[in-house]
Amino acid sequence: MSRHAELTDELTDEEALRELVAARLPQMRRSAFLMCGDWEQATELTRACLARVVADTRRGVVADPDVYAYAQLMEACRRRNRRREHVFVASATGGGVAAESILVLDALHKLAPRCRAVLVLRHWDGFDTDATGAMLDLDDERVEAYERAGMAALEKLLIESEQGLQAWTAG
Amino acid sequence: MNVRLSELLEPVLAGEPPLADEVDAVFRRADRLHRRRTRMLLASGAVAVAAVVAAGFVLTSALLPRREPADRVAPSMAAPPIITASAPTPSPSPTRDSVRAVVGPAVGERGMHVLAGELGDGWREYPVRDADGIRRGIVRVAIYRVEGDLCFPVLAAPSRCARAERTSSGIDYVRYDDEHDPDRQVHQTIAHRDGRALAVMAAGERDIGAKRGKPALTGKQVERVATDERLFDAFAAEHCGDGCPDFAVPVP
Repeated sequence: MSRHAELTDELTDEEALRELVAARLPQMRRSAFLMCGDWEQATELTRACLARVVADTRRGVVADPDVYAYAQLMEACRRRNRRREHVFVASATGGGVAAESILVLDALHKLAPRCRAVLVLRHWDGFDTDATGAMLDLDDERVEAYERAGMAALEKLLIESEQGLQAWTAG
Repeated sequence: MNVRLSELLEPVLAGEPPLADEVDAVFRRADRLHRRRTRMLLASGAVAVAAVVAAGFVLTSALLPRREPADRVAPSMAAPPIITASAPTPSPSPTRDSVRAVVGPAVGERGMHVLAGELGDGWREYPVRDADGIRRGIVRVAIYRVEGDLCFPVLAAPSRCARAERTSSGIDYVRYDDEHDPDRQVHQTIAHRDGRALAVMAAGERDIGAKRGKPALTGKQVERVATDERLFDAFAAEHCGDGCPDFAVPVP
């Protein structure tokens, strides 16, 4: 069960829906950015997923809005990434991005999509194994396996990237 | 690593653009989505209805026999059933029934038409409707195999034979017209040629008035149809044998 499941019963109310969207939107957009590396695309995907949450909640077919919204978002990111190579796109309005951040994002995107999704949901959004499994349609063992594999791979990639960065700056 | 990962990811989001009116955009998009879904639902419903109607039409056309317009006369007023119980009644077959091609035009001369009726080996019976679709009796035709000469019956003297007339094509025939009963008039001709006897009878509706009691064919028309060589040819090798229908004047 998600941490906001208690809101479910109130979601037929428009005001509650608006509050839910306003509360989830920033965090979901960040998660989407971690998944796709492009703020514009992350904004578009988040908007589309939350619009579906709103429309389907009005129809009364959403049991858990968080699980529903993140499941939609992760599926949309997976489909989008399948169609194009990952390219990190900095925000047009934001300032410069540190080289370390780019390396972290790059390492994250070198992971398998499932591993990346598990790490984002577990370590960035803070969902438990059960909710993460529900969002990605995985059982708990698979979630834990992906998490272990993802963490190990990310650690290795970051060490390699750090060494490379140090060598590059030293040179 | 858990703590470190979220800390590592935090700076990655440093260049996050402002949200602006994203919440309103979400709701506008939700409304568009709802409208699109409604349209799709209506469209798919319309398609489903059209498909069901089309399938029903195709199945009905393919599986059900063709029906003529419903009769306006109550069933109790229908033409008298004269067909014998043992008469075979296979389904009408347009390819088989070239007899109708001879009878139909004659009925049509009086502004009426024959319907696909009953048929059997060596016999046919056609219900007749007028231009308003009202039942106007029947036309019945049967062909018999005759050994030797035919004794044309005389109703008043069963032991005697009627004197037949002969057409230029060598067909002997006798007309039998019974118009005494205004509620049930019958025109019949029995024709004979080459060991085959042909009976053609036009009978009006029974007990529903003089107008509709009149047969669809005049006595002269019945005679013409019965002596039409095409009618003999139309039956080809058929003969009704034991399954012959009844006629006002039985064929011996």
